[in-house]
Amino acid sequence: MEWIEIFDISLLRSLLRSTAPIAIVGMAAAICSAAGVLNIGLEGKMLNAAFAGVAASYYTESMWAGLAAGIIAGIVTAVLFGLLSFTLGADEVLAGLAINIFSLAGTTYLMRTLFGQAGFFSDPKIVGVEPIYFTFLEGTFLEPFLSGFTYSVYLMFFIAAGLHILYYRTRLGTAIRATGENPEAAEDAGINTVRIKWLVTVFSGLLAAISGLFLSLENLTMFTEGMSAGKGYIGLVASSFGNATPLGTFGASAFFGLGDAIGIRLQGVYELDSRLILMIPYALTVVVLILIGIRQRLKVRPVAIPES
Amino acid sequence: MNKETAIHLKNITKSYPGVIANKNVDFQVNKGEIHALVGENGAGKSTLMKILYGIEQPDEGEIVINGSMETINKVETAINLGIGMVHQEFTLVPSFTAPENIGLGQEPKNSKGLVDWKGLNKSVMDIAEKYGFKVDPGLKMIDASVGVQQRTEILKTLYRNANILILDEPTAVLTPQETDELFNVIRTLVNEGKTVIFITHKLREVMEIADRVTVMRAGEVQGVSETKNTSITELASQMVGREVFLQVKKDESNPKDEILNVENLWVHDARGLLAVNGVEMSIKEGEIVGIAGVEGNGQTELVEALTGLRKASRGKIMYLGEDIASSTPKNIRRKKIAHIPEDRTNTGLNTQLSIWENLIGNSYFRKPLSSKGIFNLKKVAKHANKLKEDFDIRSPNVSLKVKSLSGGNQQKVVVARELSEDPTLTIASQPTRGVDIGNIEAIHEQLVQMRDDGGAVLLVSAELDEVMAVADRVGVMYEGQIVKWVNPKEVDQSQMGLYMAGVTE
Repeated sequence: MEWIEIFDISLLRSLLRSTAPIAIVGMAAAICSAAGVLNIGLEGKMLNAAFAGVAASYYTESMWAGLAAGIIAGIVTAVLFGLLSFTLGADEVLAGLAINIFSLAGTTYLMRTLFGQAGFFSDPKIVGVEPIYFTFLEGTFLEPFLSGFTYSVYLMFFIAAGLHILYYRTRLGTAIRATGENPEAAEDAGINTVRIKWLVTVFSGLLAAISGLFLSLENLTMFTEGMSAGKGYIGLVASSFGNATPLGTFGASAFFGLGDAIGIRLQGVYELDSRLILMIPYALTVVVLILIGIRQRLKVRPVAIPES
Repeated sequence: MNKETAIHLKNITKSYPGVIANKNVDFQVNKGEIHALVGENGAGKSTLMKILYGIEQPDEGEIVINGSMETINKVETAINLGIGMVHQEFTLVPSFTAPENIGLGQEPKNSKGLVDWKGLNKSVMDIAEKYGFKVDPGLKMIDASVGVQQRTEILKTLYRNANILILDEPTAVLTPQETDELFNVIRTLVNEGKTVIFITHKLREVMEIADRVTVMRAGEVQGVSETKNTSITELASQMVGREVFLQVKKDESNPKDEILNVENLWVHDARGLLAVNGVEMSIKEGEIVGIAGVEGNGQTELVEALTGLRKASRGKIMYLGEDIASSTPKNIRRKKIAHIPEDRTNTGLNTQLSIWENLIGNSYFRKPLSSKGIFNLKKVAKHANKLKEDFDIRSPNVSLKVKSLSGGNQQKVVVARELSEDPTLTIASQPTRGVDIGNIEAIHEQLVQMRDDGGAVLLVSAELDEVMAVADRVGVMYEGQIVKWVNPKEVDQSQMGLYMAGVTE
């Protein structure tokens, strides 16, 4: 098998599946960052949502209950972050870190006490999200590209497009960007910046929840300790690389998704050590951070001293 | 007089813990006039305007706008009443264009609920045209000059239908030419029926542009006069509460040996951009050399390079025959170069520490203040108290935090410390910024005293009046270079304005 054969339709499908959780949480980070909120706590929101989704689905044997519980968990965690940062005035980074640590410990504890499981929790009673097949596409050349993904994969395109319109074509989006860039200017224009920050925080809770649910109910139907595995942080890096814009963040997330997808394929082809493959997204994070640093330098290139 | 009253603030009192910022203030502005509000820092001007603009609430008093009594408890209310304020610090979003900034929060929507950017651009251009403003609708504020940013701020208030405009120290950041343009704008506004409140401490500008002037001191109104019936001297003494000598008293300078010689100095700023490119200058003992120029033309970086706070990229800084371009701030200080930095609270002082600790910042290591690394507190106290007396630092004792002092007294702590170690060269950057007239006088006298005692002084200031009055020789800095050297006695303000804008014939 030649290396070129790695690039085929199944790689594309794998790319979309890998991109979805990063892109969705990345856009949560982007909108927070656009409004000047440094939301480190996305990781914890994802984890709580992933756990709540699995737990509710297990008890009710209903996918919808699982999704609803996950989203509520994500939003409640977001509200907790908001209370710590905006109401009590805690440092945003510390509040976010506290939430991440608390969520990891909390979900691990609950999994052991509620289900008596350590490491991971899987049960036939957990109802996951089934892929959507478009019957009208059957047999067409579009079928392999468009059919058979779970909700989130489709949703991420709509979120990206929706956020793009929100950012650049609505009053709210303009207010969000103004709040992030110069809160005094926004306040002076009669914009309630605290309300804007709350709004994006709660919305980021919703997005992080969707991303977390993708992991536990769509991609897999199980919960494992710390299963968000840094995706919330990778989302932050993607948002930073994408200049906190929806499309930029989407593009940066696809870059991470591609790395992930290629890694999975290489594993099949060259029988690489799976632990090495699992490291790819994190290694890419470092690469991207270096790229951000380089871009920063290029932006303000020192003027060369002319020879006198 | 039978003029209509636009604003009447009656009997306003406002106190903060420990301070009465406004005491029974009565402030009345006629419709269609340019009314100057003057006073030193801390006189209560800002508090009064914050009350009018809904940022602060008065403890007592009434606000009457266009004849009806109003309660203004938030900025929105003020805006709805037709009051607009242009703050000293601009409130613009850097990556937004002028129309985007102007329409922020009130963008027109189309039928789909989306922002109608074209419609916004058009209405902004219409207003701009009406008042004779030039606007480039595609220019982001980050790329715009200070003058353009200021005009965008004024347009913002007009877009929100302001009839009463409050301009808070609008000329502080402008060149004389830009100031003239601003004054033309203000006159057009008044011709179109607007009322303008002009906050400033530059009395010459008051005389030039205002119809009437209200002077405040220590939270109270000292007087209201028509500018045609008053004079700068009278206004100044109302402001300070005693007679003020606006001219610096000094004899002809008597320069001797060269102390500092800067050769072809290049310095990059914090962002890596070239800030100083090829400065040449020389300072002799017994003279005060001034650097004038609009802020941001490399003065900060020049001073930082001279004091070792920033590495020079090339060139020589010869001090008493030795190149100190790559020396450290500590070594430079040990060579008896004193530095009064432009940023008092961050560079000049540690405001969390006591007055005495700040006063010995440049001398704590020497005998008799300390020996073997341990303070002799008695000697330190004696030293600090002497400086407090000599430099008239107004504080009950030297153990209080510097934070508790007024801006003027904080600056005196810096000046006292820097001049206390008998410097050969004193580099003073914006030494009277945020300092009131009475203390400005004292600081100027001290700089002249340094000179007369045989020291060399470099005075960098954005206040043209200050440089012209204190310095014996003035270099005008523009875009990182000294474009002109002048004798301050031989040039006038408008000539200097041209030099400051880079025009040197």
